[in-house]
Amino acid sequence: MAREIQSQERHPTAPLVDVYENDKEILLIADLPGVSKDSLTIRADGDTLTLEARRAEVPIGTPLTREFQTQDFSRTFGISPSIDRDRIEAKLEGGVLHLHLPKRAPVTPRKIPVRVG
Amino acid sequence: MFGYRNDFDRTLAIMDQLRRRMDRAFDDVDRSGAPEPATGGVPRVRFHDTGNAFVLKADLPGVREADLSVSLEQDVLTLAGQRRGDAPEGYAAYRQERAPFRFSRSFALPTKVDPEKTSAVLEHGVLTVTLEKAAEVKPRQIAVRVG
Repeated sequence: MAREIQSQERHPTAPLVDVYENDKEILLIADLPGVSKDSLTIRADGDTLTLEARRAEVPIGTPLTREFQTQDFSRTFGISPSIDRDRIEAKLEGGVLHLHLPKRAPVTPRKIPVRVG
Repeated sequence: MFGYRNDFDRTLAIMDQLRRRMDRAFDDVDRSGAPEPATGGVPRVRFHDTGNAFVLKADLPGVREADLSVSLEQDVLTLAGQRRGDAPEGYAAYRQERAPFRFSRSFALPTKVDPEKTSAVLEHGVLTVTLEKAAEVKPRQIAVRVG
């Protein structure tokens, strides 16, 4: 029985996010209450970006109310190839993640000289 | 640039799809804008009885310490505060699920607590309020003597 409750609590939930964009980057802001730096994993893999976070909260005493269970977080986004994977920056503060996804410098159109054969 | 926007639209479509899948899979997903359950409110809390104390935990991501008030009057605990909007300047918004909010919730405690022995800590966007029970209601171990 204890194991069953444990497994229920391990179902991840999708964190709420805001997504912003300007010329330089896409900024993703996510609510991750109870998540510390060490329990957060951000993976950019191919054309997806995955946030995964564990809430390491030890149960204390007897629960009197159960409005919600602490759940882990998981959410996956599709990201454009124009995002520079190597320069992604993350900042976690007060349970809020700011994820900066910089765009690659725009490709300048290349002029192809036409030679007379 | 136009091509880029299309990419982003596709991104949003995928996000929507995932979100819908998530919502189907987990019916207790917290969604801002959805009507609050009659028994609940913002923030949702977890209340625990450790024997000697009550411990309340509330998820308050992005709420600053200065915008939060925790007060105790007799045996009623009140949490009040707000989360300010944190939209960055100079950006276009594509998706806003995280809304600013104000809240005030009061809880009648099951027993008397010692107002001198309470603490409130805000860490990683989670508020933890610990309220030690008044001496007269704490569980007491009764020594058994051999008669």
